[in-house]
Amino acid sequence: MKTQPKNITKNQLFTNLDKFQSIDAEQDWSIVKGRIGFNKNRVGITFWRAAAIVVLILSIGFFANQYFQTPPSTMIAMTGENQQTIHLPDGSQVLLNKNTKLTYPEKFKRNNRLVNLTGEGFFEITRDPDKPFIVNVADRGNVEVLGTSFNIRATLLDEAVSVQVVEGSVAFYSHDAAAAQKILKKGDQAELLNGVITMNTDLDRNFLSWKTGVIYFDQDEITTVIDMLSRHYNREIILDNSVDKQLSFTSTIDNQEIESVLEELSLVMGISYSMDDKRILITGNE
Amino acid sequence: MIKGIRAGRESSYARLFDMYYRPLSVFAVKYVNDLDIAKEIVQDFFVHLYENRESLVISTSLQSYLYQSVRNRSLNHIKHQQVQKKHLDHLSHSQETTEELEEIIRVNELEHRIFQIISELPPRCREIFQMSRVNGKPNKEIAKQLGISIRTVETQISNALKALRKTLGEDISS
Repeated sequence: MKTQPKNITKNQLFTNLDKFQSIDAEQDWSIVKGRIGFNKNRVGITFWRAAAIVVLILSIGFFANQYFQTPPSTMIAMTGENQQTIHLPDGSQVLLNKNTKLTYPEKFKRNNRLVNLTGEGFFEITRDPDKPFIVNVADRGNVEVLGTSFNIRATLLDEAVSVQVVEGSVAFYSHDAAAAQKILKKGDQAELLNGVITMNTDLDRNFLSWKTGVIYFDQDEITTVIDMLSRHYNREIILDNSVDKQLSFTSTIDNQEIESVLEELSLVMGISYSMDDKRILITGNE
Repeated sequence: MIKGIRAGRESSYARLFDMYYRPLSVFAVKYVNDLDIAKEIVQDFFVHLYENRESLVISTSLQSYLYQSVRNRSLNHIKHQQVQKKHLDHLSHSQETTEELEEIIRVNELEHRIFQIISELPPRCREIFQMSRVNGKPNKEIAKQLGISIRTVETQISNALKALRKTLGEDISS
Protein backbone atom coordinates (compact mmCIF):
# COMPACT_ATOMS: atom_id res chain seq x y z
CA MET A 1 0.00 0.00 0.00
CA LYS A 2 2.92 2.31 0.61
CA THR A 3 4.62 1.82 -2.70
CA GLN A 4 1.78 2.96 -4.94
CA PRO A 5 1.32 6.59 -3.99
CA LYS A 6 4.89 7.61 -4.80
CA ASN A 7 4.67 8.27 -8.51
CA ILE A 8 1.15 9.65 -8.35
CA THR A 9 1.94 12.30 -5.78
CA LYS A 10 3.00 14.96 -8.14
CA ASN A 11 2.13 17.61 -5.64
CA GLN A 12 2.00 20.23 -8.36
CA LEU A 13 -1.16 18.59 -9.66
CA PHE A 14 -2.97 19.58 -6.49
CA THR A 15 -1.75 23.16 -6.25
CA ASN A 16 -4.81 24.64 -7.93
CA LEU A 17 -7.32 22.26 -6.38
CA ASP A 18 -8.61 24.92 -4.01
CA LYS A 19 -9.20 27.28 -6.94
CA PHE A 20 -11.19 24.65 -8.81
CA GLN A 21 -13.15 23.93 -5.66
CA SER A 22 -13.96 27.55 -4.97
CA ILE A 23 -15.55 28.07 -8.39
CA ASP A 24 -19.31 27.64 -8.36
CA ALA A 25 -19.81 26.71 -12.01
CA GLU A 26 -23.53 26.09 -11.67
CA GLN A 27 -24.17 29.53 -10.25
CA ASP A 28 -21.94 31.21 -12.81
CA TRP A 29 -23.63 29.32 -15.63
CA SER A 30 -26.97 30.81 -14.63
CA ILE A 31 -25.36 34.24 -14.80
CA VAL A 32 -23.92 33.62 -18.27
CA LYS A 33 -27.14 31.98 -19.40
CA GLY A 34 -29.04 35.05 -18.29
CA ARG A 35 -26.67 37.32 -20.20
CA ILE A 36 -26.95 35.22 -23.34
CA GLY A 37 -30.73 34.90 -23.16
CA PHE A 38 -31.24 31.77 -25.22
CA ASN A 39 -34.06 31.66 -27.72
CA LYS A 40 -37.00 30.15 -26.01
CA ASN A 41 -38.39 28.63 -29.17
CA ARG A 42 -36.43 27.23 -32.06
CA VAL A 43 -38.97 25.19 -34.00
CA GLY A 44 -42.12 25.55 -36.06
CA ILE A 45 -41.75 29.25 -36.58
CA THR A 46 -44.31 29.88 -39.28
CA PHE A 47 -47.05 27.77 -37.88
CA TRP A 48 -46.63 28.87 -34.34
CA ARG A 49 -46.03 32.54 -34.92
CA ALA A 50 -49.66 33.58 -34.79
CA ALA A 51 -50.39 31.43 -31.82
CA ALA A 52 -47.26 32.58 -30.12
CA ILE A 53 -48.24 36.20 -30.39
CA VAL A 54 -51.54 35.50 -28.70
CA VAL A 55 -49.88 33.47 -26.01
CA LEU A 56 -47.21 36.10 -25.60
CA ILE A 57 -49.70 38.82 -24.98
CA LEU A 58 -51.60 36.70 -22.55
CA SER A 59 -48.55 35.67 -20.69
CA ILE A 60 -46.42 38.76 -20.76
CA GLY A 61 -46.92 39.30 -17.08
CA PHE A 62 -45.97 35.72 -16.39
CA PHE A 63 -42.80 35.86 -18.47
CA ALA A 64 -41.76 39.22 -17.12
CA ASN A 65 -42.11 37.72 -13.73
CA GLN A 66 -40.02 34.68 -14.72
CA TYR A 67 -37.43 36.79 -16.44
CA PHE A 68 -36.56 38.79 -13.43
CA GLN A 69 -36.50 35.87 -11.12
CA THR A 70 -33.29 34.00 -10.61
CA PRO A 71 -33.05 30.92 -12.85
CA PRO A 72 -33.88 27.61 -11.19
CA SER A 73 -30.90 26.53 -9.17
CA THR A 74 -29.40 23.09 -8.96
CA MET A 75 -30.20 21.01 -5.94
CA ILE A 76 -27.57 18.70 -4.57
CA ALA A 77 -28.39 15.76 -2.35
CA MET A 78 -25.46 13.98 -0.77
CA THR A 79 -25.55 11.08 1.62
CA GLY A 80 -22.78 10.04 3.96
CA GLU A 81 -23.26 7.19 6.39
CA ASN A 82 -27.03 6.97 6.00
CA GLN A 83 -29.55 6.32 3.27
CA GLN A 84 -31.97 9.07 2.36
CA THR A 85 -35.15 9.45 0.33
CA ILE A 86 -35.24 12.41 -2.04
CA HIS A 87 -38.52 13.80 -3.41
CA LEU A 88 -38.04 15.28 -6.85
CA PRO A 89 -40.05 18.24 -8.17
CA ASP A 90 -42.13 15.97 -10.46
CA GLY A 91 -43.26 13.70 -7.63
CA SER A 92 -40.70 10.98 -8.37
CA GLN A 93 -38.78 9.49 -5.48
CA VAL A 94 -35.22 8.34 -5.17
CA LEU A 95 -33.80 6.34 -2.31
CA LEU A 96 -30.09 7.13 -2.14
CA ASN A 97 -27.68 4.59 -0.74
CA LYS A 98 -24.76 5.69 1.42
CA ASN A 99 -22.07 7.92 -0.10
CA THR A 100 -24.18 8.90 -3.06
CA LYS A 101 -24.62 12.22 -4.79
CA LEU A 102 -27.69 13.24 -6.78
CA THR A 103 -28.03 16.60 -8.47
CA TYR A 104 -31.25 17.84 -10.03
CA PRO A 105 -32.78 21.17 -10.96
CA GLU A 106 -35.08 22.90 -8.53
CA LYS A 107 -37.58 22.85 -11.37
CA PHE A 108 -37.40 20.46 -14.32
CA LYS A 109 -37.20 21.79 -17.87
CA ARG A 110 -40.16 21.62 -20.17
CA ASN A 111 -38.87 18.79 -22.36
CA ASN A 112 -37.03 16.48 -20.00
CA ARG A 113 -36.21 15.60 -16.44
CA LEU A 114 -32.45 15.30 -16.14
CA VAL A 115 -30.67 14.27 -12.96
CA ASN A 116 -27.07 13.27 -12.25
CA LEU A 117 -26.10 10.34 -10.11
CA THR A 118 -22.85 9.16 -8.60
CA GLY A 119 -23.23 6.22 -6.28
CA GLU A 120 -26.32 4.08 -5.93
CA GLY A 121 -30.01 4.90 -5.99
CA PHE A 122 -33.41 3.26 -6.29
CA PHE A 123 -35.68 5.33 -8.52
CA GLU A 124 -39.47 5.37 -8.57
CA ILE A 125 -40.49 7.60 -11.42
CA THR A 126 -43.78 9.37 -11.92
CA ARG A 127 -45.04 8.68 -15.42
CA ASP A 128 -44.86 11.57 -17.89
CA PRO A 129 -44.51 10.58 -21.56
CA ASP A 130 -43.84 14.17 -22.61
CA LYS A 131 -40.83 14.51 -20.37
CA PRO A 132 -38.48 11.56 -20.37
CA PHE A 133 -36.69 11.06 -17.11
CA ILE A 134 -32.95 10.79 -17.72
CA VAL A 135 -30.36 9.71 -15.22
CA ASN A 136 -26.88 10.73 -16.20
CA VAL A 137 -24.68 8.19 -14.48
CA ALA A 138 -21.29 9.37 -13.25
CA ASP A 139 -20.78 10.89 -16.71
CA ARG A 140 -20.47 7.44 -18.22
CA GLY A 141 -23.94 6.56 -19.47
CA ASN A 142 -27.58 7.47 -19.42
CA VAL A 143 -30.69 5.69 -18.25
CA GLU A 144 -33.82 7.07 -19.82
CA VAL A 145 -37.36 6.25 -18.74
CA LEU A 146 -40.93 7.43 -18.88
CA GLY A 147 -42.33 5.93 -15.72
CA THR A 148 -40.96 2.96 -13.85
CA SER A 149 -38.80 1.90 -10.97
CA PHE A 150 -35.22 0.75 -11.17
CA ASN A 151 -31.93 0.63 -9.37
CA ILE A 152 -28.62 2.09 -10.53
CA ARG A 153 -25.21 1.44 -9.09
CA ALA A 154 -22.36 3.60 -10.33
CA THR A 155 -19.93 4.27 -7.56
CA LEU A 156 -16.49 5.48 -8.50
CA LEU A 157 -14.88 2.38 -7.15
CA ASP A 158 -17.03 0.03 -9.22
CA GLU A 159 -15.70 -0.64 -12.66
CA ALA A 160 -19.12 -0.96 -14.21
CA VAL A 161 -22.40 0.95 -14.11
CA SER A 162 -25.15 -1.53 -13.23
CA VAL A 163 -28.87 -1.14 -13.74
CA GLN A 164 -31.74 -3.34 -12.67
CA VAL A 165 -35.34 -2.71 -13.67
CA VAL A 166 -38.04 -3.59 -11.17
CA GLU A 167 -41.02 -2.28 -13.11
CA GLY A 168 -41.63 -0.89 -16.59
CA SER A 169 -38.74 -0.49 -19.01
CA VAL A 170 -35.75 1.80 -19.50
CA ALA A 171 -33.32 2.70 -22.24
CA PHE A 172 -29.70 2.36 -21.15
CA TYR A 173 -26.99 3.96 -23.26
CA SER A 174 -23.34 4.80 -23.01
CA HIS A 175 -21.77 8.22 -23.43
CA ASP A 176 -18.92 6.74 -25.42
CA ALA A 177 -20.82 5.30 -28.37
CA ALA A 178 -24.25 6.53 -29.42
CA ALA A 179 -24.95 3.15 -30.98
CA ALA A 180 -24.66 1.24 -27.76
CA GLN A 181 -28.20 1.25 -26.47
CA LYS A 182 -30.18 -1.47 -24.75
CA ILE A 183 -33.80 -1.55 -23.74
CA LEU A 184 -34.22 -3.18 -20.36
CA LYS A 185 -37.51 -4.64 -19.23
CA LYS A 186 -38.90 -5.69 -15.91
CA GLY A 187 -36.45 -7.97 -14.13
CA ASP A 188 -33.55 -7.21 -16.49
CA GLN A 189 -30.08 -6.39 -15.26
CA ALA A 190 -27.36 -4.87 -17.39
CA GLU A 191 -23.86 -3.53 -16.99
CA LEU A 192 -22.00 -0.79 -18.78
CA LEU A 193 -18.27 -1.43 -18.90
CA ASN A 194 -15.76 0.26 -21.21
CA GLY A 195 -18.52 1.70 -23.38
CA VAL A 196 -20.19 -1.66 -23.92
CA ILE A 197 -23.52 -2.65 -22.42
CA THR A 198 -24.02 -6.30 -21.55
CA MET A 199 -27.20 -7.95 -20.35
CA ASN A 200 -26.65 -9.86 -17.16
CA THR A 201 -28.06 -13.30 -17.62
CA ASP A 202 -26.67 -14.48 -14.34
CA LEU A 203 -28.88 -12.24 -12.23
CA ASP A 204 -27.45 -10.77 -9.08
CA ARG A 205 -30.02 -11.76 -6.47
CA ASN A 206 -28.62 -9.21 -4.08
CA PHE A 207 -28.74 -6.14 -6.25
CA LEU A 208 -31.44 -4.57 -4.11
CA SER A 209 -30.22 -5.84 -0.76
CA TRP A 210 -29.07 -2.42 0.32
CA LYS A 211 -32.71 -1.33 0.06
CA THR A 212 -34.56 -4.42 1.27
CA GLY A 213 -32.10 -5.61 3.91
CA VAL A 214 -32.50 -9.14 2.57
CA ILE A 215 -29.44 -11.02 1.31
CA TYR A 216 -29.68 -14.38 -0.43
CA PHE A 217 -26.78 -16.79 -0.44
CA ASP A 218 -27.02 -19.91 -2.52
CA GLN A 219 -23.93 -22.08 -2.44
CA ASP A 220 -21.82 -18.96 -2.69
CA GLU A 221 -18.10 -19.15 -2.07
CA ILE A 222 -16.91 -17.68 1.17
CA THR A 223 -15.03 -14.85 -0.57
CA THR A 224 -18.24 -13.76 -2.35
CA VAL A 225 -20.13 -13.95 0.92
CA ILE A 226 -17.55 -11.85 2.73
CA ASP A 227 -17.48 -9.25 -0.06
CA MET A 228 -21.23 -8.92 0.05
CA LEU A 229 -21.37 -8.66 3.83
CA SER A 230 -18.54 -6.16 3.89
CA ARG A 231 -20.35 -3.96 1.38
CA HIS A 232 -23.74 -4.36 3.00
CA TYR A 233 -22.69 -3.69 6.56
CA ASN A 234 -19.96 -1.26 5.56
CA ARG A 235 -17.45 -3.08 7.74
CA GLU A 236 -13.97 -4.20 6.98
CA ILE A 237 -13.87 -7.99 7.07
CA ILE A 238 -10.58 -9.82 6.86
CA LEU A 239 -10.44 -13.42 5.78
CA ASP A 240 -7.52 -15.14 7.41
CA ASN A 241 -5.39 -17.55 5.38
CA SER A 242 -6.43 -20.35 7.67
CA VAL A 243 -9.93 -20.27 6.17
CA ASP A 244 -10.65 -22.89 3.51
CA LYS A 245 -11.62 -20.88 0.41
CA GLN A 246 -13.64 -23.79 -0.95
CA LEU A 247 -16.31 -23.35 1.71
CA SER A 248 -19.72 -22.34 0.46
CA PHE A 249 -22.73 -20.89 2.21
CA THR A 250 -26.49 -21.03 1.67
CA SER A 251 -28.86 -18.88 3.67
CA THR A 252 -31.24 -15.94 3.60
CA ILE A 253 -30.26 -13.00 5.76
CA ASP A 254 -33.28 -10.88 6.59
CA ASN A 255 -32.46 -7.54 8.18
CA GLN A 256 -30.17 -9.12 10.74
CA GLU A 257 -27.44 -7.59 12.81
CA ILE A 258 -23.98 -8.48 11.56
CA GLU A 259 -23.29 -10.38 14.79
CA SER A 260 -26.09 -12.83 14.14
CA VAL A 261 -24.92 -13.32 10.55
CA LEU A 262 -21.41 -14.08 11.78
CA GLU A 263 -22.81 -16.52 14.34
CA GLU A 264 -24.64 -18.31 11.57
CA LEU A 265 -21.56 -18.35 9.36
CA SER A 266 -19.39 -19.82 12.08
CA LEU A 267 -22.00 -22.42 12.92
CA VAL A 268 -22.53 -23.55 9.33
CA MET A 269 -18.99 -23.31 8.04
CA GLY A 270 -17.04 -24.14 11.14
CA ILE A 271 -15.08 -20.93 11.30
CA SER A 272 -14.38 -18.44 14.07
CA TYR A 273 -14.62 -14.70 14.14
CA SER A 274 -13.53 -11.85 16.31
CA MET A 275 -14.50 -8.23 16.00
CA ASP A 276 -13.70 -4.82 17.37
CA ASP A 277 -15.30 -1.55 16.33
CA LYS A 278 -13.02 -1.24 13.32
CA ARG A 279 -12.95 -4.62 11.67
CA ILE A 280 -13.90 -8.24 11.72
CA LEU A 281 -11.42 -11.07 11.49
CA ILE A 282 -12.49 -14.49 10.28
CA THR A 283 -10.28 -17.46 10.99
CA GLY A 284 -10.54 -21.16 10.28
CA ASN A 285 -10.91 -23.75 12.99
CA GLU A 286 -7.89 -25.97 13.21
CA MET B 1 -20.46 19.97 -30.20
CA ILE B 2 -19.15 22.72 -32.49
CA LYS B 3 -22.23 22.25 -34.63
CA GLY B 4 -24.46 22.73 -31.63
CA ILE B 5 -22.53 25.83 -30.64
CA ARG B 6 -22.92 27.35 -34.10
CA ALA B 7 -26.62 26.56 -34.02
CA GLY B 8 -26.84 28.36 -30.67
CA ARG B 9 -28.21 25.33 -28.88
CA GLU B 10 -28.47 25.91 -25.17
CA SER B 11 -27.59 22.32 -24.29
CA SER B 12 -24.33 22.58 -26.24
CA TYR B 13 -23.36 25.76 -24.45
CA ALA B 14 -24.27 24.28 -21.10
CA ARG B 15 -22.02 21.33 -21.83
CA LEU B 16 -19.19 23.49 -23.09
CA PHE B 17 -19.49 25.65 -20.01
CA ASP B 18 -19.53 22.64 -17.75
CA MET B 19 -16.44 21.22 -19.40
CA TYR B 20 -14.35 24.34 -19.67
CA TYR B 21 -15.50 27.09 -17.34
CA ARG B 22 -13.51 25.94 -14.32
CA PRO B 23 -10.26 25.04 -16.12
CA LEU B 24 -10.33 28.22 -18.23
CA SER B 25 -10.86 30.35 -15.12
CA VAL B 26 -7.99 28.70 -13.29
CA PHE B 27 -5.89 29.11 -16.43
CA ALA B 28 -6.68 32.84 -16.67
CA VAL B 29 -5.53 33.33 -13.07
CA LYS B 30 -2.01 32.54 -14.25
CA TYR B 31 -2.16 35.83 -16.21
CA VAL B 32 -4.39 38.15 -14.23
CA ASN B 33 -3.49 36.83 -10.78
CA ASP B 34 -7.03 37.16 -9.43
CA LEU B 35 -9.73 34.51 -9.52
CA ASP B 36 -12.68 36.92 -9.62
CA ILE B 37 -11.22 38.82 -12.56
CA ALA B 38 -10.36 35.53 -14.24
CA LYS B 39 -13.92 34.29 -13.89
CA GLU B 40 -15.26 37.54 -15.32
CA ILE B 41 -12.97 37.27 -18.32
CA VAL B 42 -14.11 33.72 -19.02
CA GLN B 43 -17.77 34.62 -18.57
CA ASP B 44 -17.37 37.54 -20.99
CA PHE B 45 -15.74 35.17 -23.41
CA PHE B 46 -18.65 32.72 -23.27
CA VAL B 47 -21.12 35.52 -23.96
CA HIS B 48 -18.93 36.75 -26.81
CA LEU B 49 -18.71 33.22 -28.20
CA TYR B 50 -22.49 33.01 -28.34
CA GLU B 51 -22.95 36.41 -29.90
CA ASN B 52 -20.41 35.63 -32.60
CA ARG B 53 -21.30 31.99 -33.05
CA GLU B 54 -22.19 32.31 -36.73
CA SER B 55 -18.78 33.64 -37.66
CA LEU B 56 -17.00 31.16 -35.46
CA VAL B 57 -13.95 29.74 -37.21
CA ILE B 58 -11.92 27.14 -35.42
CA SER B 59 -8.79 26.14 -37.26
CA THR B 60 -7.25 24.13 -34.43
CA SER B 61 -8.98 21.98 -31.82
CA LEU B 62 -11.86 23.42 -29.87
CA GLN B 63 -9.81 23.11 -26.72
CA SER B 64 -6.87 25.14 -27.94
CA TYR B 65 -9.23 27.68 -29.47
CA LEU B 66 -10.85 28.23 -26.07
CA TYR B 67 -7.53 28.48 -24.27
CA GLN B 68 -6.05 30.80 -26.89
CA SER B 69 -9.06 33.10 -26.72
CA VAL B 70 -9.00 33.27 -22.94
CA ARG B 71 -5.25 33.86 -23.03
CA ASN B 72 -5.67 36.78 -25.44
CA ARG B 73 -8.43 38.27 -23.35
CA SER B 74 -6.32 37.91 -20.23
CA LEU B 75 -3.32 39.59 -21.87
CA ASN B 76 -5.58 42.41 -23.08
CA HIS B 77 -6.83 42.85 -19.59
CA ILE B 78 -3.29 43.16 -18.30
CA LYS B 79 -2.45 45.70 -21.00
CA HIS B 80 -5.34 47.84 -19.84
CA GLN B 81 -3.99 47.62 -16.35
CA GLN B 82 -0.49 48.52 -17.46
CA VAL B 83 -0.78 52.05 -16.21
CA GLN B 84 -0.85 50.68 -12.75
CA LYS B 85 2.62 49.24 -13.33
CA LYS B 86 2.31 46.51 -10.77
CA HIS B 87 0.97 44.06 -13.31
CA LEU B 88 3.83 44.60 -15.68
CA ASP B 89 5.78 41.58 -14.61
CA HIS B 90 2.94 39.30 -15.65
CA LEU B 91 3.42 40.37 -19.23
CA SER B 92 6.27 37.93 -19.43
CA HIS B 93 3.57 35.34 -20.04
CA SER B 94 3.03 36.71 -23.50
CA GLN B 95 6.51 35.43 -24.35
CA GLU B 96 5.81 31.76 -23.81
CA THR B 97 6.41 29.44 -26.75
CA THR B 98 3.72 27.34 -28.37
CA GLU B 99 5.16 24.25 -26.73
CA GLU B 100 5.17 25.87 -23.32
CA LEU B 101 1.60 26.95 -23.76
CA GLU B 102 0.56 23.46 -24.83
CA GLU B 103 2.20 22.04 -21.74
CA ILE B 104 0.42 24.56 -19.52
CA ILE B 105 -2.89 23.61 -21.10
CA ARG B 106 -2.19 19.90 -20.70
CA VAL B 107 -1.35 20.23 -17.01
CA ASN B 108 -4.31 22.53 -16.47
CA GLU B 109 -6.70 20.00 -18.01
CA LEU B 110 -5.16 17.25 -15.91
CA GLU B 111 -5.62 19.33 -12.77
CA HIS B 112 -9.23 19.86 -13.74
CA ARG B 113 -9.75 16.15 -14.22
CA ILE B 114 -8.25 15.48 -10.81
CA PHE B 115 -10.56 18.06 -9.28
CA GLN B 116 -13.54 16.32 -10.93
CA ILE B 117 -12.54 12.92 -9.63
CA ILE B 118 -11.86 14.20 -6.14
CA SER B 119 -15.18 16.02 -5.98
CA GLU B 120 -16.97 12.79 -6.85
CA LEU B 121 -15.36 10.80 -4.05
CA PRO B 122 -17.46 9.96 -1.00
CA PRO B 123 -17.16 12.89 1.45
CA ARG B 124 -15.11 11.07 4.07
CA CYS B 125 -12.73 9.64 1.51
CA ARG B 126 -12.28 13.09 -0.06
CA GLU B 127 -11.58 14.71 3.29
CA ILE B 128 -8.93 12.16 4.20
CA PHE B 129 -7.34 12.28 0.77
CA GLN B 130 -7.08 16.06 0.82
CA MET B 131 -5.56 16.11 4.27
CA SER B 132 -2.97 13.62 3.12
CA ARG B 133 -2.08 14.54 -0.42
CA VAL B 134 -2.95 18.22 -0.59
CA ASN B 135 -2.07 19.38 2.90
CA GLY B 136 0.68 16.82 3.28
CA LYS B 137 -0.37 15.53 6.67
CA PRO B 138 1.07 12.21 7.82
CA ASN B 139 -1.45 9.36 8.09
CA LYS B 140 -0.88 9.09 11.81
CA GLU B 141 -1.90 12.68 12.35
CA ILE B 142 -5.00 12.35 10.17
CA ALA B 143 -6.05 9.25 12.08
CA LYS B 144 -5.61 11.07 15.37
CA GLN B 145 -7.44 14.17 14.23
CA LEU B 146 -10.42 12.26 12.87
CA GLY B 147 -10.42 9.64 15.58
CA ILE B 148 -10.08 6.71 13.21
CA SER B 149 -7.51 3.99 12.74
CA ILE B 150 -4.42 4.45 10.57
CA ARG B 151 -5.62 1.41 8.67
CA THR B 152 -8.83 3.25 7.69
CA VAL B 153 -6.84 6.27 6.60
CA GLU B 154 -4.67 4.07 4.42
CA THR B 155 -7.69 2.32 2.92
CA GLN B 156 -9.44 5.59 2.11
CA ILE B 157 -6.31 7.07 0.52
CA SER B 158 -5.80 3.91 -1.47
CA ASN B 159 -9.45 4.07 -2.61
CA ALA B 160 -9.00 7.65 -3.74
CA LEU B 161 -5.82 6.79 -5.60
CA LYS B 162 -7.59 3.87 -7.20
CA ALA B 163 -10.31 6.17 -8.49
CA LEU B 164 -7.70 8.64 -9.75
CA ARG B 165 -5.62 5.99 -11.41
CA LYS B 166 -8.64 4.35 -13.01
CA THR B 167 -9.63 7.52 -14.78
CA LEU B 168 -6.25 9.03 -15.44
CA GLY B 169 -4.38 5.88 -16.30
CA GLU B 170 -1.02 6.53 -17.85
CA ASP B 171 -1.26 10.31 -17.52
CA ILE B 172 -0.69 10.23 -13.83
CA SER B 173 2.40 8.09 -13.82
CA SER B 174 4.15 10.13 -16.48
